[in-house]
Amino acid sequence: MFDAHEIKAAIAALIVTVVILGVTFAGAALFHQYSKQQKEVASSAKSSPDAVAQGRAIFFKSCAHCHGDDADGGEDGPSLHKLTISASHIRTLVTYGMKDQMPSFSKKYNDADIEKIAAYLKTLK
Amino acid sequence: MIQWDQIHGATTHFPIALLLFSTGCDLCAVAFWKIAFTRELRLASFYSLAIAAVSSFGAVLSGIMITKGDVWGQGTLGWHHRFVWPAFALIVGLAIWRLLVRERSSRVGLSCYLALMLIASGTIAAAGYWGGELILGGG
Repeated sequence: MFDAHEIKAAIAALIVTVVILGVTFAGAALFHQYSKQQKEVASSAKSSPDAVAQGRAIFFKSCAHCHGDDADGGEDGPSLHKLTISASHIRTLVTYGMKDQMPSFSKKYNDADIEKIAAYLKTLK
Repeated sequence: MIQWDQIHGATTHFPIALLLFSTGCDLCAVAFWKIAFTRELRLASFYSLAIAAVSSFGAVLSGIMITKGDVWGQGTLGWHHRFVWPAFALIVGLAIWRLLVRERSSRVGLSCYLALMLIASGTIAAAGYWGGELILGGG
């Protein structure tokens, strides 16, 4: 059976681990909230006609071969017209990709570029 | 500007390698308990686990900075996180337990510890795999 000091050590380890995870998640949540607010502020500034044009150029370079030149669907990707998801969701999908369906573009483009792609896609009717 | 993705790439390999090494040392110490350097194996296992636990904080912090605080995410990132958090909890918890118990563990205690170390090794290996997929899997 377990010795008493092992049980005490297990309880101590459990408490410290829970506290560390709690602090980590709480800190991450606060940071996430802050980043989100910063992104929203940047987003409103970046949906200018210039940003949309640049987003369109990036789209042609990296997305059009799957989603079609006019983003109305290609052989490998669906149409991106009339998207009902938010700009934030678009950014997440472009950044992290979709398993077995779409690659991640986080290494290829920075946040500002992905923002522009999202801005362009939101203009498609 | 701090390159958090590079820092994450640099720091994340320490806990992975050291945890696997620690588990290997522990298993060898149990399997070959009759040989002379069993104590040294247990010692190597202890210190490598301790350093793995400390270095895991750097890996976690840099990871949080990359994802801008998103501790779950979607797609490949989601899979990475499904394994990262259990692995992180297990590494920290096991290191603390080992630090407090040292070599005074019972047979049952040691068996449970080894089982959890194997689970931690599996989860951290899976987290590493999905982390690699995030970087090399596309884009």
